[in-house]
Amino acid sequence: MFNKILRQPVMNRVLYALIPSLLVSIYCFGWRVLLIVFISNLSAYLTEYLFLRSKKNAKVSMAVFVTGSLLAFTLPPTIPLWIAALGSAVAILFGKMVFGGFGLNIFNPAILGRTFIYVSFPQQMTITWAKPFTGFPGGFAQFTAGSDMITGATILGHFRNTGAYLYGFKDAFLGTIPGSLGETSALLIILAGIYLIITKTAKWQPMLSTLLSILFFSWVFAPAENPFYLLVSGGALFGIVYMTTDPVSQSKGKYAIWVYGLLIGFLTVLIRQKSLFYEGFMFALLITNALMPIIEYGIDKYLIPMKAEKKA
Amino acid sequence: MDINAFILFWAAIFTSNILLTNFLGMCSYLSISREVESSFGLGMAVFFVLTVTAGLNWVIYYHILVPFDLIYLQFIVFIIVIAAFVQLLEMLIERFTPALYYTLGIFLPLITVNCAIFGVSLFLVIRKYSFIQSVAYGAGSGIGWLLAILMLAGIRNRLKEKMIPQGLQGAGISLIVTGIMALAFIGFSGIVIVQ
Repeated sequence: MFNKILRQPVMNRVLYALIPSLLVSIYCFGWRVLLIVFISNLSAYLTEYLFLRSKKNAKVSMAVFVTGSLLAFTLPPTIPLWIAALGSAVAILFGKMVFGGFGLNIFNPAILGRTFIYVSFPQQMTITWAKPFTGFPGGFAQFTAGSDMITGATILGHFRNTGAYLYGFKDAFLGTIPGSLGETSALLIILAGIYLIITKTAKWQPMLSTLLSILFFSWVFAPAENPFYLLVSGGALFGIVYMTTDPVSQSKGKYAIWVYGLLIGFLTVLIRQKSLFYEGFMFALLITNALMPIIEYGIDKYLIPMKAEKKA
Repeated sequence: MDINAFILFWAAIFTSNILLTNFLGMCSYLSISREVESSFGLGMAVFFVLTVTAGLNWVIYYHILVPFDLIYLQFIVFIIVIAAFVQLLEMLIERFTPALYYTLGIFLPLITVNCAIFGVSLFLVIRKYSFIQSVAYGAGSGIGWLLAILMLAGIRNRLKEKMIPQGLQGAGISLIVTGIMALAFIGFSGIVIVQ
């Protein structure tokens, strides 16, 4: 059963890039983190395996482990294991397999799975956040996250309700704040992003365009605040590095790739500032995934012929 | 209802999209989203009919049905107004722009039974919108419907129909995609409250 995995070196590199974040996450929240990642991957693998079982010579693609891991990294450390399993099953089933499997999905599977469980189980996904361990050996000597919990608003929610920062910029940057497994440490995510760009695993255009767009619109919506702080708190940076660069669902055209980033950034900030939800990145990416095919159709049909005409 | 008509217009497009949050007007949305061009034509027709009938039905409801105590007839009257208007529109389009008439073909009369249009007429009564608000809500809902069908048409254009599991081809995958789009649009909720 396990020798039937399609090898994809690109996907391996994404997994390598996640390892440092995983270690920091274990340090902050205990060994249960590893169990969450394992369960999520197992569920993703089994879903794809069950779907492909009847087909001849079909192999489970390496990409399921990327989806499973990325999904696990966006969950809070206190998440019940069955929700993690459900999320990654939905991600693989409705995000990928119904469209025909690897390489054919329209939406980003990990983001779809996360949005599904976020909307379905808001209690478990948003109410309690574990405070990270500090000092040595920290979470390496613990199984579950500390009993020290924060109830209520996350860093983004607190900021919107009161206008005050719950944590300093340095804490938010290094990752010693409560939050989801892999998204707290901005530093490691930036390093991973650089690694992905250097090894040509991910394109730099979607990262840069989304980044600039989030910074710009944060400044437009909340001019008095430091846009970089809003960037490093919450899941936006994790999403920029790992989610917008999904090789299948991202936009590919020369112009479309910039429109893609611009839209994600605008919608992220809009939803963060104005809607019921504090974290907007996942909704923004899903909406953008839904909008891009028609935008690309328009660009191919009208904009590119127009440019060609001008040149001629 | 005290809400700026301009804001209501935007809200009807995004936060309470008639198709993706109320799930109205699904039938023609699913069947005519195969090609981008025809879905655009249908969407524009729906937008136009929605805008005008929202205004017409408002006038008829508050200036004929309410004064003569005939509110119990509202369902029939609204449907008649919509059907009559679509007929009129059809004749005008045929007379003045035959080309457009043949592109739209069967879609034009189909608009009569599009539940989004009837739904908007009922919402504006329940939510007690003023005339300006009603027209803005109708126009916004029309644009929202156009946006939704264009999004689906774009996605279906990109799908590789042959690779999709057999039982899900056609309407099945369209419904799944619509579900995911609706999930995404939940993100807008709470920006404006329309009712």
